[in-house]
Amino acid sequence: MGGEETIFGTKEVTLRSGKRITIRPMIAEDEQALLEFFRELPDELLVFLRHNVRDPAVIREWVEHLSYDRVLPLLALDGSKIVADVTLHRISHGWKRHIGQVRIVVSPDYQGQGLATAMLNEVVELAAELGLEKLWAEVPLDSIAAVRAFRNAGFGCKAVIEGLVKDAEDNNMDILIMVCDIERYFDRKWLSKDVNLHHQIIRE
Amino acid sequence: MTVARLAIFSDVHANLEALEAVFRDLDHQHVDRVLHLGDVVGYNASPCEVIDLLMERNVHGVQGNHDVAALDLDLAEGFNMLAYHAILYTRQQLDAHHVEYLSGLPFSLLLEGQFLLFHGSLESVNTYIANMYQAKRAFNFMRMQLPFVRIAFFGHTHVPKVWSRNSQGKIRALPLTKEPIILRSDEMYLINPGSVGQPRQKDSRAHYLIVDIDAMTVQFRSVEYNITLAQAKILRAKLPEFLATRLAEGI
Repeated sequence: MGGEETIFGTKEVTLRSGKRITIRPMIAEDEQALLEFFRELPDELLVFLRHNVRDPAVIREWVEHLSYDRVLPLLALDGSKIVADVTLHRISHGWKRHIGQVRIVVSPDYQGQGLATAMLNEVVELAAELGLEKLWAEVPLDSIAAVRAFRNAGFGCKAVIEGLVKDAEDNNMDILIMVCDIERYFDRKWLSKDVNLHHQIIRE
Repeated sequence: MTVARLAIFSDVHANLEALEAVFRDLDHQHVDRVLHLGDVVGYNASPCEVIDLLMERNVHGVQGNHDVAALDLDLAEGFNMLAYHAILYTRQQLDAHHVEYLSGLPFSLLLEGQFLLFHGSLESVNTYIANMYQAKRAFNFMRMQLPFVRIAFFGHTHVPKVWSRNSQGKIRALPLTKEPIILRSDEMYLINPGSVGQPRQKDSRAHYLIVDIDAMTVQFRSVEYNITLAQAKILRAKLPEFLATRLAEGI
């Protein structure tokens, strides 16, 4: 069948460049490749992450305590090289138990090729399978590519909070709250092309 | 042949144990005909055995998105990794006669000149009737394109549902009861039996329904099946583990 057997399987997607990329959940054996991925990321991308991901101890902690029920990390791999990471964070109790929070980081070399949209589509589809109803994302307001990728994956712009967060140079930045209503998300798949149903009906 | 009692199920998804349990229940229900609403294969471990059983029982039906993806992998491009992984497995399992069965499934079936069967929506096997807006769209499509159809059966969402549209155009979801639901002659209906092989309403039983054409009723039925055995087969087939765990949770 190809690819590793993981709890959620694997999948290949084709980027606009024609390159084939594998998407699968993170496993413990990804520790070194993950560290290399984060070490190669520019500082301005790291500011969006909550942890010091260049610290090997942080990555070791992640891979040793993988819990897909709490955080489902999906990796995009070009061969054995990790080129993107998207995480789906879940809260098991309380009023947000039906909501998943999504974070994504894509290597600059692989941006602008549809990879972020493909990964986000995958997360939305998996979230539906997991029984989640809504997805939540916080995106820098001035990151046009990120906003576009989330919109392509079915997220809508819901709120802007001005000056809430800080960039690497300590400047305050606006963030955009984006939400995907998973049930409505499936509306986007309505086909626009005409289907001549009368030819397809088999009468018995 | 005039059909008085009809059994309809959907989304078996290669779950042989669940399908066998449905047939055991059906053996006591005095039905004249059994039909399915597609997605015979995908997700679970027994696609060949399920198709063989459907052929043995002379069960016809319509195509689902997993059925067409099993025939043409390009159609699985939009599947999530769970579904995609299972389609690769399915394609490895199928013999020529299984492929022939899937290839022979039509997009929709019109039964007795009045009951329409399809998988996802009236427009595609991939699209859903999962909320009121989508139900309204489907009712409008029926009124414009298929004025002779008042009652349609669909699957794909894996959740039992009855949408009704009254003569004033009001659309509502009817409460589902164990007792037969009476279908009024002045209303239109979109009816989903739920899923046999992968129910998603947090009720792990296999679900199907019986239509009594004389009484104009539908009755939803749910049967227990050997989930442990179905799970063991999934793990043995090296399918994603989540596909096994979800069966017990009904998600």
